[in-house]
Amino acid sequence: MHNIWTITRREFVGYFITPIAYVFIVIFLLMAGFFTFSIEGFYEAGQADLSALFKWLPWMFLFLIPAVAMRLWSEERRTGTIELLMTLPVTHTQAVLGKFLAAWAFIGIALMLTFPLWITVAYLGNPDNGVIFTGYVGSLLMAGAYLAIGSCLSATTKNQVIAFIITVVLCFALNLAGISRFTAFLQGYLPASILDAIRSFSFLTRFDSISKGVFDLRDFIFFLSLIGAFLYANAVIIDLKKAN
Amino acid sequence: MKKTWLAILTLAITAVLLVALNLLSSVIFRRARVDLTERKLYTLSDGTRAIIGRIDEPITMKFYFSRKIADKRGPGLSRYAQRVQDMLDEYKRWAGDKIKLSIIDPEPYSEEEEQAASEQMEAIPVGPGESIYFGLYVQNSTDDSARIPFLPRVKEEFLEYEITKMINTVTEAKKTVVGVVSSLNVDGSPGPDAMMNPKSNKNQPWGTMSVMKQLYDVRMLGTDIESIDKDVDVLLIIHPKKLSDKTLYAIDQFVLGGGRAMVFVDPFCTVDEPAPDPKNPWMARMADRSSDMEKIFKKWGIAYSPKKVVGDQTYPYSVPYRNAQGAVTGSGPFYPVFSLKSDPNSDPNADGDAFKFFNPKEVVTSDLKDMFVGYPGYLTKRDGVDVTFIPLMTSSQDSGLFDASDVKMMSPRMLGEKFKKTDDAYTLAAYITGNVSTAFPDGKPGSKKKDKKDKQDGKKKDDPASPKTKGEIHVIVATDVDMLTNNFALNKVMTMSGPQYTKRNNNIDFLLNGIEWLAGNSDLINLRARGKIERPFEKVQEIERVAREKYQEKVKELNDELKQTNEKLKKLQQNSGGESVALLRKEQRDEIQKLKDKILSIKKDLRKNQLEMNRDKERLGMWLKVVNIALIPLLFSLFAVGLGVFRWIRRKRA
Repeated sequence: MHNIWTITRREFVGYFITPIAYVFIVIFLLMAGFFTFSIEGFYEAGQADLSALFKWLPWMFLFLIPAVAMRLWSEERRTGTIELLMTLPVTHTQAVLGKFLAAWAFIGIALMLTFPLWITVAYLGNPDNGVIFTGYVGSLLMAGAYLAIGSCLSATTKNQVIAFIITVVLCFALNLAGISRFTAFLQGYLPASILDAIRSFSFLTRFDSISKGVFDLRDFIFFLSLIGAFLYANAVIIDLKKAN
Repeated sequence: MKKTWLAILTLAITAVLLVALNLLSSVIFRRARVDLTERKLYTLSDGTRAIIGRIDEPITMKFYFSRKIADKRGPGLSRYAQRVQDMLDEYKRWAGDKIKLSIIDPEPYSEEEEQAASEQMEAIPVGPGESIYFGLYVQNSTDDSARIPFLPRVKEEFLEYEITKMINTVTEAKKTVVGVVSSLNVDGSPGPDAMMNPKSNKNQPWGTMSVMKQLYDVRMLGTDIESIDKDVDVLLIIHPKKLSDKTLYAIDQFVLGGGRAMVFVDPFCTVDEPAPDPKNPWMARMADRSSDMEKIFKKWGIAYSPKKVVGDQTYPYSVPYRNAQGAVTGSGPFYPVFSLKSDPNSDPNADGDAFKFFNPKEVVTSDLKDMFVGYPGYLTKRDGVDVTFIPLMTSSQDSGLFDASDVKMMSPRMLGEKFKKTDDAYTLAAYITGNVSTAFPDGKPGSKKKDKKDKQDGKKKDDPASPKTKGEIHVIVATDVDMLTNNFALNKVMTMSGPQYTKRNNNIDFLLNGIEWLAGNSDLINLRARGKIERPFEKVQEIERVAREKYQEKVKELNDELKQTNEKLKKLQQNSGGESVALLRKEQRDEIQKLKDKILSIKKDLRKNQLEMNRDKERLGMWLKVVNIALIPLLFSLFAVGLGVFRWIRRKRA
């Protein structure tokens, strides 16, 4: 336990030593603001909720989070520091968890920094704060899921760019699964129950549900089990690569 | 090598477990939810829970949905159906054994399909040999049933209301009691000329009344009432003409005591015919055909004039125009009689409160499509009374007002010429609720002396039936009585067994919706509050309001000036007597040009003011954009730079 915390702390601080973190956060916030105000016309629409923001978050995460995730393991493998990491008295699992939690916390901070939007909307009208709260929680969970996938995939290759691309592709596919136009073309070939199951694996569908304002245990299980599964896979892959 | 295969196996198992876990949980954990929305949008409301609590014998609920066929056509309907099913599951979860729920996907030509047909479920054909069922059927143990043959998309917000209403219908022991007060012979009791004209239309019960009698326990209360029985669920007042204070008091007390009322008044009712006076046929034309309840309306916060008739240009009734000799010269629009038609393209989920004709956010009017009114009046909310005034039906924005006297006197052509449309829509019916005071603060009319004596004797009024001075009212007021008459609401078909009436439009539906909604105990009425949750930018609305007030004066001034100038110009041009411009004297031409210039400059001023009004709103928007998009990133960057500089300095020192 203590080990995990140590790793987490070391990694987390490490983010803020380099300029990368700041650039990332600034870009994230600029994009969030831009999408919310200009593209989605938040002010003109006149609705006191943050649906404008939450509509775009899944797509922003799609590109930004793999960028964070790709360096989790690929870089270590490339530069060889992974050997160094493995000589420390920590298990692979602890290492994986530690890095993951640090990255997740980092994303959490970036997400939190959009708080001016919440203040703005509370100033302009009388928003349903319950819905906004669940929106943020949902965003955090979804970010964690993207991150877990990215972390796992980054362990499979030394090349950060490849890690980035395959993560984006997989996450993109998972998003698409929730968009009707895309599942429609599968309809002729697959029975309805399988189609339903596919749809239920879409990040978009799940995120939509949570950000409606309802905490459904099933959605929590979805995200947490996904994170768990991919982190476990992550550890397995690290093991494997180390053995070679 | 072995290790690799082991690893791959492990990963495969993990993937399978992941999928399995989620599929399993989606079935097992259907009920584990926490609704964090402010208005608990996803939990059953208290009203529904109360009504479910009142179920004593188990009821059956059947949800017919052709899921397989619907899925082929895209997820839209299936997703909505899933929400319906989720909601039905909530009902089942709450009711436990009291509700037996079946989800049925009827195969074509199966027994289930026959069952669906016998329960009057509607199937919409969507392809060769394929139709979709999407209906709800509820039945109690004694075979009373209620149904929604096909769930319309637009009613999604009112889904809970509709389902609960169905449950209520099959669990209610008795029929709704409707008490009718009317100055007209709605029930066909013999009129003043019964002896001479026994078969005249005036002495037949209104078709509307016949329909109501099939559905409700209708009681005719007359127009001279001492008090209204508590077990009357809805008081229906049709065309109250000069009701006595005694009767008004009974109505006042009934409504203050929580009784629901639906009132139809009218500035000009076509069937309110005075007794014909052979000595003076002209008088009949000018007779008063209006109704009003001013004393009570004042207290309910309603402003209504029995002297004003609304005319509408959008769907006016077409009548023959006659020349002076009485010969028909063509046909033209008759504005005081018109139709209201719902706009099939309008989006019931649209923001804002504005609507045309039917309020899509109220259950009473949301599914009305076509109504026909005759010489309606209009309502507005009276200042100074704290009530909630919700318009249910309005005219279009191409409407205007006539004086009732003009309507009686003028020919359709003359009325058409006199018609001036204002850009306002007029409220023809509204729902009013709130805490109001009695219209009879001195108590029951005619009992004054006794009360004074009681006061002098120091007697306390412990009487539980002591007059109410305040109360929470729930009333619907409409300003047209003609809509309920046979001519406006029904088509008559002569059959072997006598005249049969069929619905001509949604007029009767408005009446029935109103009665059912009002009668549905307070649990059902409060359900309406759910609807679409509008959360506007109150701050922005405030800014807009302030700006509007600030510039309202100026804009009104400018508009008046514009109007005057326009009139001056018109007069001047007319006085030139149609001579061509070139022949006008120079002074006249100059004068005309001056006026035209003035008009241009006034218009420019108006535009400037308009821009000014929006300026504050836009400034706020700009400011917010800057703060949100740029501020935090900026601060953050400064922080980052600062940190970098700080560390650089530290390094230098070391």
